[in-house]
Amino acid sequence: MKKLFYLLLLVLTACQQQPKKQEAETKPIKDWTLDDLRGKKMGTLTGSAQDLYAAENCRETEIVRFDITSDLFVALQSRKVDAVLYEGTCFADIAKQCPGLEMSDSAVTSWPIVAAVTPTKPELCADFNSFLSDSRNEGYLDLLSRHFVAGDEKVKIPVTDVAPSDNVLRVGVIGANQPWGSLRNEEWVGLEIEMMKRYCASRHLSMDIKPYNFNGLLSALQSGLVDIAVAAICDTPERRKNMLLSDPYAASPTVIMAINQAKAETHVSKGLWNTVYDGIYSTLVVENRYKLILDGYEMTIVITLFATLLGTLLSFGICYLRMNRRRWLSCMGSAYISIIRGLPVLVLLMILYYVVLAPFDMPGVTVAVIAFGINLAAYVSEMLRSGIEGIDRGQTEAGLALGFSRAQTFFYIVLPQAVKRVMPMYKGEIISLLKSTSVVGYIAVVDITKASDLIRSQTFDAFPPLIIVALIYMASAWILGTLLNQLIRK
Amino acid sequence: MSLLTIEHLRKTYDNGLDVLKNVTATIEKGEVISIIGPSGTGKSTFLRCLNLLEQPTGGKVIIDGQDILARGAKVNELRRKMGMVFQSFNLFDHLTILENICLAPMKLLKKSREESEKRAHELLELVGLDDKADCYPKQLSGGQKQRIAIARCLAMDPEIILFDEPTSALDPTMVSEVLGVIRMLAKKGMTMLIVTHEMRFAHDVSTRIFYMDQGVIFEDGTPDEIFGHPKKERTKAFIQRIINLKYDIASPRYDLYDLNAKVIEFCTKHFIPYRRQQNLLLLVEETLQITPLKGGVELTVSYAENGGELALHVILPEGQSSPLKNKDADKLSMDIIKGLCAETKDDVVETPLGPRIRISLTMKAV
Repeated sequence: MKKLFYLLLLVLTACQQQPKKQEAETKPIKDWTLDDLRGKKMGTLTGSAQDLYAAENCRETEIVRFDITSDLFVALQSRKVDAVLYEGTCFADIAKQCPGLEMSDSAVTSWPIVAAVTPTKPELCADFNSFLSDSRNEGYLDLLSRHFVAGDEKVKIPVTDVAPSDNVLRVGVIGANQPWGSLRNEEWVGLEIEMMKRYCASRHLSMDIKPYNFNGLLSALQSGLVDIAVAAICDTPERRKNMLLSDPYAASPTVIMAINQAKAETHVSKGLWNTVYDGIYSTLVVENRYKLILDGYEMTIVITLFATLLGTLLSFGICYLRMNRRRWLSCMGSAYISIIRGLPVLVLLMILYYVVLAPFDMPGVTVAVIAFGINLAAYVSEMLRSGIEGIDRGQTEAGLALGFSRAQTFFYIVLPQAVKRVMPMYKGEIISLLKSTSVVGYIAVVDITKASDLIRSQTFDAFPPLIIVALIYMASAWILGTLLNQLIRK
Repeated sequence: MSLLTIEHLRKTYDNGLDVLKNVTATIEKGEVISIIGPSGTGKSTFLRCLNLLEQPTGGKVIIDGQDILARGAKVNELRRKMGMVFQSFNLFDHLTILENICLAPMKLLKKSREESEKRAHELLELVGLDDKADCYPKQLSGGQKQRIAIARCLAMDPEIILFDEPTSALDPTMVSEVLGVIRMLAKKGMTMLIVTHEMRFAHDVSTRIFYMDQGVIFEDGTPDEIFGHPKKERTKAFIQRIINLKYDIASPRYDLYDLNAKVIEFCTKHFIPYRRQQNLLLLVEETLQITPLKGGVELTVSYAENGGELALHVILPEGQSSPLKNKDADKLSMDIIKGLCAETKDDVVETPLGPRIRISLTMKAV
């Protein structure tokens, strides 16, 4: 046991080390162009304008796509990609977290930044455009640009307080994207955040900020789950055609970013304990990030609990259908089971969120509970069926001979025995459910995995939050298992 | 009014097999009826049709004046008047013994827990297992489980108890404990219908015996009648466990040595002593001497395992009359035959080819 522990510690240390020395690049990064990336790997943010641009213009470069911004730079640091194609305006903020990061001086291309409005609300778009033109005329947009993009701290922006109101504007953003919008010290700050606050205040609306990853944000917008999306969205001709975009409020140069290895190595390498301590400190303590983890954990538990309840109740119904003598009912039952078992939970979750339940405007948690409940029911009902069929027919006959009705025989005699038999498998399914809730981040529900994503996108350090979250999952699974074992004993 | 009346009960399986053809019987209170018969003749099916564990294809089962097979019959309520004890016990594995016995009275008869438990303890004492009240079925032996099953039936105060081969799954050491309980119930006047293979028990405890064969109640009588002098041949064959050796002789020029060899083989297989075997061979020889063989005869050696009776039957060809009555038959052969046999007779039997005369010679018991 001790040896195993030390081995584990060794492995962890190896993971923490800086990448090995390599040959210095021949051309300074500031002079790079797209041609220099031929035959190399380049990272882009999935679904972003840069991504689409790269797909068309960089045929000889291997494009590697990432769902969240920080993953791009973590990949850069660990040499998984040689360069990243990204927003120039974000460079300053990211460079703080990414030692040795440099960007090309010349922009590869440039687009205006616009907001995207859900296609069912053109009047919102028109109203927002009038707000933008008023803001431009008052010089507000210029002020924002100087404060956030140019980074001039001295420029003060008027403070806007958004009063709570019955009318809610659902604003979609991406998690960490300074200077446009990110979560700092549990508060949302950034150019786009300030702009939206001002808009909402002027229109007497309440603002509900919903964070997604970029790709998910665009889908949510099209499904009507958010009203307006601000995420440094670039105005490209294709997007103009297919989406409802506002007038521009800023401009964005697209640049190539890469790490200057020589510079990166000068970054002081701390000892193992310091690295671990720093990692945990920045993950948990800085900006009270532990609260994110706790909130995320609460969400994971809530979803697991309610999905278990829903799934178990539903499974009795499905099992009844499946075991019914009438052909059409039993076909319905097996159709349900085949279809649901044939889909990965994530696909089911997304179908429900973006398509089936979208018109109902349910919170992501509810959709998650329904999706996982439906999924669980398909498995548990088959388990129940096998348990019931495994009970000797003689038990039923004895019950009937005593004068119990079929229903009474089932509930008093067959079912208790079937459930007892099936409990170990049930326990496995529930623990599996707990772990599979980790995908709800895809539909903008902040569970503990998504919380670790958010932290990672701020600290640019993948290791501590993942380890912490992994440990939390393992502990939870163990506790859940023990609780269910107690239930089995009864 | 009789307790249970069964009228023209019929059961046909989907594949066309008529397992019960036409069963009619009346059962009075206090009767203990054993149902015996060869396997597969529908004894268990008959019993299970009475409480609708099998669905009969036709007929009536009237208990307490109500036909359980009629439309709108309250089957569950009527079932409560009939208790059933199964070959495989069928105790509820997830409940303790006490709970097993109390479940039905509490849920169906709406008795209180105290009342049910008190009665349960009384019944457990009756079957001798009160100390096992808090055990689970899997902790008990087969004999104990069956006695509990009987107690469970009794808790519902049934009017009749149906026993479906109650001791068939028990090893011989445990059979007696269960039979003891059934005997005790019979003494107390419980009406019972028992399907069993335990002949001696059936003889001792029953007031009436049903011999079932070919889907009907073939013969119905008191134990002495059925076991002592069964009226029908099939009954007799069953009771006495008769085994036959058939041999066809086509013409006068038959192979005697072959016949003898077969007879010796038969005797060896059934442990018939040497002396008797020799007597049998002699009887066969002499009988064939006096019997006209032209046209073909069918010879049958019958051995009753129960009782040890050996008999020889010869079915004569068409038109032939019995050699026993023939005054011109060889006197020596006749004397030998008469000396070897306790009884000789002839009668007419139906064969697929028409009626024929058959002579039956029953050997002395030596």
